[in-house]
Formats: sequence, C-alpha cells, structure tokens
Amino acid sequence: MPSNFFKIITILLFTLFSCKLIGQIDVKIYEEKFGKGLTSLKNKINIEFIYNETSKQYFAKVSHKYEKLHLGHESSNSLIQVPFNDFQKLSLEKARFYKLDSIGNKKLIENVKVKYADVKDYYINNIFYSDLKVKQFNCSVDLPENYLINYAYHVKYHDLKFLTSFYFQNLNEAVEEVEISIKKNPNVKFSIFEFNLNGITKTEDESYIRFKGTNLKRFKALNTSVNSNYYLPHIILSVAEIKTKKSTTQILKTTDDLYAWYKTLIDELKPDNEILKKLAESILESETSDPKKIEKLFKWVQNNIQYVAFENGIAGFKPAEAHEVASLKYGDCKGMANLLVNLLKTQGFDARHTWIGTRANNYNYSIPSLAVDNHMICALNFKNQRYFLDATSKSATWDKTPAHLEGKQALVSNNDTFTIQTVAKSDPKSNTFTITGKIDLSKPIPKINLKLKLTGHFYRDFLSSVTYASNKTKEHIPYYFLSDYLNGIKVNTISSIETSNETVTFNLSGTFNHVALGNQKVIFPFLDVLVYPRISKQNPPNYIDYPQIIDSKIEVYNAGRFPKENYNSKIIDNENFSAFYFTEKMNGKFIVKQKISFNALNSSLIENDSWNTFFDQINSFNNLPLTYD
Amino acid sequence: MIKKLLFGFICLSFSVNAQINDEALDNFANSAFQDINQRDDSDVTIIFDRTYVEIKGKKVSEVYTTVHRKIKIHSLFGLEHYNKLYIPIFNDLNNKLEFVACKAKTLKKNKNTVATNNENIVTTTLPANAPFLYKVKGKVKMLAIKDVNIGDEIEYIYTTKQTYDSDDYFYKADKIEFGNNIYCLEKSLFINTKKHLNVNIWPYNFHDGTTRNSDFLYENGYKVSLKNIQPNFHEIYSQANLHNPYLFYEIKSTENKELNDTWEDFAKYFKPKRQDIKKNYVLNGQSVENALDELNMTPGTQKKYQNILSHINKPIENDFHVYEDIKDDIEVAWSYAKVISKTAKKLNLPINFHFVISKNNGKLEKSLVSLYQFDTIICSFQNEDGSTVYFPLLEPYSNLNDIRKEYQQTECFTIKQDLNGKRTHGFDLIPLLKTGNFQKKVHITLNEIIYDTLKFTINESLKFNGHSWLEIKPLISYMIKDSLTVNKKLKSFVENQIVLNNKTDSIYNLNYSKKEDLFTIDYQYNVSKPITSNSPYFSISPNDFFEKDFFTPYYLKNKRINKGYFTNEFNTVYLFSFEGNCSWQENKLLKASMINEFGSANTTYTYNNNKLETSVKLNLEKAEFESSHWSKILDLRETIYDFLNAKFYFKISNDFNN
Repeated sequence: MPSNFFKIITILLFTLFSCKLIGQIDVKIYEEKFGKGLTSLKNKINIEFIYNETSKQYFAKVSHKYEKLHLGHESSNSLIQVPFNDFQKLSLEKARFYKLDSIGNKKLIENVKVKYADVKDYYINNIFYSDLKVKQFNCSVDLPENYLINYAYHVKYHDLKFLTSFYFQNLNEAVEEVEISIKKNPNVKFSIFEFNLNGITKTEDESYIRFKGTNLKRFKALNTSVNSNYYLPHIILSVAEIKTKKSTTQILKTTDDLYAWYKTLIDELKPDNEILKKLAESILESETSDPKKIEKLFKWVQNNIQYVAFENGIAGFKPAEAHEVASLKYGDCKGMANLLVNLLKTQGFDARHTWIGTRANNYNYSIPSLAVDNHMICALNFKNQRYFLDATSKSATWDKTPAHLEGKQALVSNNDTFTIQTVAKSDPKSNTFTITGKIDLSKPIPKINLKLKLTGHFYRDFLSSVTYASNKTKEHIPYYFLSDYLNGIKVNTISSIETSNETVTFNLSGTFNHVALGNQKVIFPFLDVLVYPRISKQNPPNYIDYPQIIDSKIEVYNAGRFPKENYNSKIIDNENFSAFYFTEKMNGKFIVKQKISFNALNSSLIENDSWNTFFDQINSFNNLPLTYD
Repeated sequence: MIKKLLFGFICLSFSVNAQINDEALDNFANSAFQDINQRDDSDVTIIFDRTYVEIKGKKVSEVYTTVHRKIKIHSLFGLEHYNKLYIPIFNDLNNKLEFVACKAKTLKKNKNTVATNNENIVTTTLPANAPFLYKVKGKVKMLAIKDVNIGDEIEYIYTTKQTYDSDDYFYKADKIEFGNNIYCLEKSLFINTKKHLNVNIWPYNFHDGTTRNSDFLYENGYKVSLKNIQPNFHEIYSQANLHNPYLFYEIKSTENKELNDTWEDFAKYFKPKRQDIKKNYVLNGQSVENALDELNMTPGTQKKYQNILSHINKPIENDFHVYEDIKDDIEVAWSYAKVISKTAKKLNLPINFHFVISKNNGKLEKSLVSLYQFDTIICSFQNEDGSTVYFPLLEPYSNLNDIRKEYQQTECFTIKQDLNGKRTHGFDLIPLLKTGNFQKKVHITLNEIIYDTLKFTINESLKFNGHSWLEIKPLISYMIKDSLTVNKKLKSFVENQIVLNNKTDSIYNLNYSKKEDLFTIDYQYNVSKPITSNSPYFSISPNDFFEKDFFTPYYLKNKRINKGYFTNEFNTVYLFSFEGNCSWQENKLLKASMINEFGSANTTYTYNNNKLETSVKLNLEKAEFESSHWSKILDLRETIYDFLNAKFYFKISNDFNN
C-alpha cells in the first residue's frame, strides 16, 4: 500500500513538473533564435464550410487562435487590431495578457473583456478606408519588457467570393509554429494557390488539407521594399462551386466567373448620357483632333476629380455612377475610371472598363480570386492600339501608362467576354536622368556646376510634382525632387528650368563636399546616385520605381593638374542591373563617367546577394579617390 | 395632402434658415462673383471669413455660431484642398457642438452660380491633407462643393450650436484667430447678444489700429474686422502665432453679481470660483488639516515649502497619465493654488502666486482680467536667507527653482499673500533662474574587419544640463521610477535619440546618472559597414549619429518673414571621435568658426596616433532676432550643418587587412 501510494505521488509530481516545464517559456532561447520583437509561438487558422439551414446556403467560418510573445523594449505598444469589412462578421472570443516570471512561467496580467472591444476606422499609412474597420483592444496596465498574449476570434463569410488570402506570418513577426487547416466539405469545391511557401509543409487526408510551418524568420520592411505579398508565405483560397440539395452554384471557378460578377456590377450602372455628353462637349469646346480630345477628357478627370477611397460594402467593387462622380468631384479609382470610360464613349471612342492589380500586388489572372486585382482603369482602343488610362495617377498621360501598372495583367471588358493583356514594361532608355558638368578644385572650397536632364517617367514624375504642388513651394520642387541624388553637393542655386519634348533640364550650382583637403587634395568624384538601399537578410527585396538609366559625365578641374589615379572600365553587369565607372583624359580634361542601369522592376525575390553585391560595388566606387599632390 | 407637405417643407426650411444668422443669410443670397488681385504664392484667397456669434435666448450656455466664407481658387493644389467644406462637431463631457444648417454654392468665373445640394453631406474624420483652416479634433461633417474649377469662387454658410452644461462655463473667454497661412481680404467677428449679457473683447496684434475697423455700436455686441491679412507660415525658430492678430472675447451675464472683472477681485476673493478638483487629491490624499500636522513638524520655511511641493507632486507621480491630461490646464493649477494658499495661511507663511504665459504662446494683456489667458501658475516665497525661491505646480518630480525656460523672464500677474493670508496684487517678472545645455558624445571604434565587413562599436553619451534637463525631467524620472521596467523604458528613450540610419536592437551597457541639475545616460551599440576590395577607403558622417543636423529647408534659406525666437533652443555641444587601425584623410574645411552678435559656431578637430577627436559647439547669445538678421543666424546654422553633413574618409591600414 505505501509503495503504491509513493508510486502514485511520484507519477503525479512528475506529471505536474513535466507540465510546468512544458508551460515554461525560455525567453533567452527565443531571443537567440528569433531576436527581439514579436514572435508568434503558435498560430492556428482553421477554415470550415457550414450549411445554414435557414438561408439554405453555405458560409465559411474562419477561426483564428494566436499565442504571441513580445520580447524587448520594442513591444511597448500592446494594442491588438483585428481588421474586418462589410462582408465579414467578426467575433472576438478571448484575449489574455500574461507576464513571464524569472523562470518563464506565465502569470496572468489581464483577462480582457473582449465584448467591450472598440470598433474603429482602419487607417493604413494614415489613409482612411471607409469600408475597413478594426476591432481593437489593449492591456489596461503597463506591460513588462517581455509579455505574452493569447487571443482568439472567428470570422464568418456569408458570400464565399470574399474568402481570399491567409498569411502564415505578418510583417515584423517571427513564427515558431503555424498551421492553416481547411476542413473539406464534399459540397464545396475550392482551389488553393500557394505563395512563398518555403519551409511550409502541406498534408492532405480525407477530411483536411493542412499547411504547417515552423521557425519562420522575421521580415523587416524598408521604405523601398516590395509589398508583403511578394515574400510573406500565404495562400489564396478560391471557392469554385457549392452544391446544395437543389442546385450547384458556381462561385469563382475560373476568371470567367470573376469577370461575370464584375460585369453584373457594371450592368447595374445607368449613366446619364445626356449630362455626360454635355460635360464632354464643355470640356472639348471646339476640339476636332481625336488625340487632343482624348487628352482633354483624360486631363479633366485627372485634374478635377479628387481621389477619395469612400468604398463601403459593395461600393468597394461597384463603380459610382459616372454623372454622380462628375457632379461630386470626388471618387475612387472605379468611379474615376467609369467616368472616363463614359466621357470617351460620348465622343464615339472605344473605351472599356478594365480591372488590374497594381505592382503592389504580385498576382495574375490565372487565379480566380478577388485578391488578384486592386484597381480599375480605362482601356482605350484607338488606331489599332490599346492604351491604358489611369486618371488617379497624377504623373500619367493618356498615352503613357503610369509606372505602377507596368508589367501587370489587365482584365479588359469586351462586353460579354474579356481579354487579358499585359501592360508593357518600359525600356530603361526611355527613363533617363543625365548629369553633365564640372567640379572645380582650384577654389578653396570646391565648386560644382551641373546640367541635369530628365526624360520619361523621371520627367512625368517631376512635372506632376510641379503641377500639383502649392504655389508657395513650386519654385523649390526641383531641389526636393533631385535631393536624393545630390549627396555631397550643397546646392546654392537651381536655374534655367526648361521643359520641352518630354524632357526637363536644370542648371545647378553649389559646392562639392566629398573631399579631403589636407596636405594633399583628395576628391571622391563618383556621385552617390543609387537611391535604393542595401538589403539585409531580414529585409524584403527592393521595389524599383521603373526601368531607368542614370548617366553622369563630370569634368574634374584642378588648375590644369591631373590626379595620380586613373580608373578604367569598372563594370558590373547582369541582365537586371548594370553599372560602369571610369575616368579618362580627353582633350586635356579629366573626365569622370558613371552609368547605372536598372532593367528590372524589383531586386531578386529569391535572394538578396546579387543586389547587395551590386550595391556594395557601386558604393565602393563612391570611395574611389582622385589624389592631387 | 400636397399642400400639407408643401407647408411642412416651407416650415422646415424656415426653421432651419431661422437658425442661420439673418445678416449672413441675406449676404449669402445676394453675393456675386468678385474680381480680386491674388498673391503669386497663394493657392486660394479668402475673400471674406465672417463669424457670427449669437446668444438668442437668456442662457449664455447656448451659443449659435454662423460661419460665412467666400474663397477663390487659384491653383490645382487649391482646388484639391478647398473643394470640400468641413464643419466641426463634437460631444464632450461638459459641452457639445452640433451641426444646425448649411448652404454652399460655386460662383463660376463665367458669372453663373451652381448650388450644392447638401443631401450629400457625410460625417467623417478629417482627412490628413485637410487645410489648416479646418483643423479640428474629432468628427466633421463633410460636403463636396459642386462644379468647382480654378478661377471659381466657393461660398458657404453654416451654423453650429454649442451647448454648455452650465452657464458657468461661458465665463471662459474664447480666442478667435484672425490670421493663418492663407491670404485673407477680410476677416470679421460679429457678436450679438441680448441686453442682459455683457461682451468684452481684447484684440492682440491689431497693428496699432491702422488696419483695424471696429464697429462698437453693433447692437449689444461687437463687430471687429481686419482687412488684407497676409499669410503666415511656420519658419525655423519662429512662433508665427505670436504675431498673428487674434482676440479674446467674453460673454457673461450682467445678472450674475459673482462674476467680477478686476484684478483686485481676482486677487482678493480668489475669483472666479471654478469647479474645483478634489482638494484631497492635491495634497496626496490628505486634507489641509491633516497635512498641516506633518508640515508644522518640518523646520524652516524652505523645508516646509519643499515638503508641500513633494505632497502636491506625489499624486501626479503616482498616476503619470493624469499629468499628460492636466499639465496645461490652468483651471487645475488654479485649484492647486487655492489649496496651497489655504495651507500657507494656516502655517503663517507668506507666499506669492505668479500667473504666467509661456513665451511660446504670447504675452500678458493687463486689461484682460481672465484666468484663461494664463498657461500655468508658479509659486514663490522668501527662504531663511532672504532669497526668493520659486516652484512650479503640476510638474511631477520637480524641485525648488525648477522653472522651465519658457516661463523665465516673462511678465506675470502676481498675487502676494502675507503670513496672515491677506492678499495684494501687481505685475511682476519671473527672473532668469537656470541656464543649461545639451551635449552628445559619440565615440566610434573600428574593432575588426571580417571579410567584407567593418565592425564598429559605438559609445554614446547624452548629457542634459539645467533647463534642457527640466524639459525631460518628468518623463525620465517616471521612466526610472520602477526598477523592473527602467531598462525597457530607457532603451526606448535612447532609441529615439539614435538617428534613423543606425536604428539597432543591440543597445547594451546602458547606464544613467541623475543629479539635481544634470542627467547623463550612456550606452553602446554595434554597427557594421560593408567594404569591397575596389577601394581602401571608407567614410563616416557625423550626420549618421546626431539627430539634429541643422538642415535648413531650401525655401527658407533666402526668405524670412517672421521674427525669430530661440525659445526652446539649447546651447549645443557635439563631440565626435574615432579610433581604429586606419588613417584619417585630413580635411581642413572641417575647422570653421563663425562669431557674430547672435552667438558663435565652432567646429574643430585633432588627429594623433590614429585617434580623431572633433567637437562642434553652438552658442546662442540672444533670445530673439528680427527677420532682417536671418542671414546671420543662417551663417551659424550652416557652419554646424557643413560639419555634420561632411564625410570623414579613412584609409584602411594594410596591417588590418592582413
């Protein structure tokens, strides 16, 4: 009897001790493994399809459970926000904040009363989106340096079209363990599209499809980074069809279904053609040239309709009536595109509603999902050519597509059918920034005089900055537009600004500071014109604004004397990025030449090394000296 | 039925219109497109901006305000920002502002008029790019004005109703700004009240009356109008609001005998009597009587007041979030002053109460008998040595003579209370009590080169001295109060001191020291820098380590409009040093000195045995300057800027590479 008693006690103690060990969190191990910041210990998302007997329809219930560890001083903000929109019904289930004692045991700080969670407007980068809200909660007491939070909620989707993407991790978040599971339902057919699933395993049995990931490292985005859907692991779930006892309903089986739904929204529009025709005539006055007509109508929408994202519920997908947008003078992209389509149609042009994912979005129309596009524009068939007109872009002209659409697929309406066309990527030679001039070392403080020339997207970006700037700041726009390229130059004046033939030129004078003027004169003449940064292992790839060439040719003058050094044809070259740097004596002058060319729209999505090698080599050229005894 | 509906509609229209000021409504109905001269640098011109304040009933707690504006659009920027109207609304604890009615129209340059249907008015939050004219907290009603183009004029009229819980609240004087960043041809304020109400106004910066057009016969109220108000923009070292015309107005009942408006009444009877905060809170949970037992035991005047200061600081030290709410609340300061007055009287100690206005906010107006022109109250007493000692209210962790720079050398209204509690009053000056500076020291050590990477250790120390310490003292004292979270909080403070390029999560060896008049904090972090075999040189810029780089925006270099103030500018010392197995390429341009009547700027260096030491010092000798002296101030700034933005080039030694 005593022996059994001790056995039971021993087993009990062992069990208790083991449980305690399992429940303990070793902060040091997590810090070594993932660094400071937010680490999700366990994230679970479960998606299931449930039949509603009342509505006789299927809905999706997505349950989210999170256990998140915040390490270090960065975690002072305990605010948790769960976004939702009009097509989702969100219910918070629980939220508990814990501190960790010295041996890693969880101690409850607060059991949040989630039913009192605030509902707020959602802001992304300070932009207000009327169709997005958040439920948010906070810990009411000061949190320690390290703390843990457990919370759970579920979201119901009654219209299965709106079931789109699910992420395995968020930006600035490391994840130790994550699972997304989809419970199969014989009456609901769906497709799964996988993105960036390195290190995520997929298993499937009769009941479930499961994705599991472990030890996902944290990404830290820079200002120049591509959008998170380019690199964060996620899936898009697209429901193809649902069967009920009575019928089979196709939801989003192919892009045909996506277009069919978009078309129903367009068909509901009833533009007041009389008003629109009068408006078009008042804009065009007596214009007879077709290109001029297109230009005038495009400019009118671009200049007179202010972009405001008032997109509530279905208005997030259905454009506002064209005559209403014309009257209100504000609208979202769909409203502006719809207005432009209708104004052009009143003049007999073949204008089409067009859906597109901008370059913020790394998808194409092989995926039948609402996640694929995020923008609407107007396509125009004119003289056997198709043009893509985006009046929301301040820098676009009717015949030049803005840079944020280059390389992207567009879904162009053809009434009952549609065509998918890829917007052409521009040639680097069409977007150039050319610098020519002289650095004079013979003065006590080195002087620099430059002539700068911008073409293509550089030119259009500059022009839109000037056009839409306040009158007070207009004359200073050239300085601020160029300042990223003027490292080492203290600008005194910018003058002779001229625009002609899609080109703008400036003269610039100032002093050149990349010098060491001691017992000998040393100048570092290669200009620091690379505006995209080096990327660490944690950083996502760089977003390149557009294919481009930066070309510089500067004479270094030092009272007829020449430096010791001479650099010949230093070349970095690959298909996406290239640069060459060299110096030469020409007609008694000492010339420093450099040229950087980008032919890609982003640095490699797979690895950062090639970009960083390119970056380091260019930066090292900035440290190449010219020495004068 | 139709007749009934029509009658109902007419009645409704009449009742809505009845809330809008009649004169404004009449002007709105009869207005026409105007040709005006515009400034080249303006995006819009406000042709007129008229505010009508009306109290229609007997209660001063219901105020109707009608705003009537006409704005001409000159540019695309102007069009984008001014083609919408935002009307403020809010619902606070003690008062609420409700939307009553609105009309808007566009006066086209072809002389046509397009009315805007206000059915499309929506309630929203103010967009970030809304013009300054509309900046308000909370929600707004937004109306897009129809068919506006460049060259057109928009005109709107709207009325709001502000309701206060109690008549008392309207004793508070309101401030109306007459200038902002837009060129305005006419700005007017009309105040119209019933005969049992008194209106007082106190105009500021109305330029000696030369452009002032005041009609004091406007019924029972006032009409004040200014013309051709030039725009005022923010500039470095400026307080544009100090020069903008503004006025205080006050409406109060003639029947309320308790409300007097002489400084004597203010001092003698401690009026106005406001809703006091709980007296027990002021003395850390103790009543005056209970606190007296302890204070009576404390020897000496200075120690007694030191003890009082500790008592009043404790509650806001214990609940620091309260400090954020009340630090600028003159009503709370007033409640504190009254409790301290009572306590001093019971202790038979004389005390002075100085009602002060921050240099950032304006100057004392002696004819305006209102608590609400002041920002806070400072107390003073004579210690045993006969020296006058000052102490602040609502400043947690403060000591005697901890008076912020913004209140030093300002004129104030003073109530003197003798040891019997008898009070007299007068105007006085807060003396210069503390000077000080801020010093940041950065020492960079090149430790090693691993393959293609330079590894540096950065040692930084920050020293806050005198009034620069006072600025952060409440926050830092709060941060170091709890030993469990001190490291976390100070790291987050230090992170904000490290410039963006060097943001790091590797801060270590963080130490601090807090003394009476000095706070220092030092810490280390690591930085790596890639190199390639192409060049033996690498460069470092002080700009990567010092948060303030003295950059002067290009558009501010040549033009200066406003008078300048160095109100919150501290004398600054930056020390920047480097050591490592590499040679610095000397640059004599980095030795510079600029001295003029406004101060001095010096940059210098020494270089011995692979150790570079540099220093940057900026001393500002004067508190303010005229706009015509801007070029001299710019000379001082540019001297520091040139140094901080220079690159220091180093050549790696061959030994190191091996």
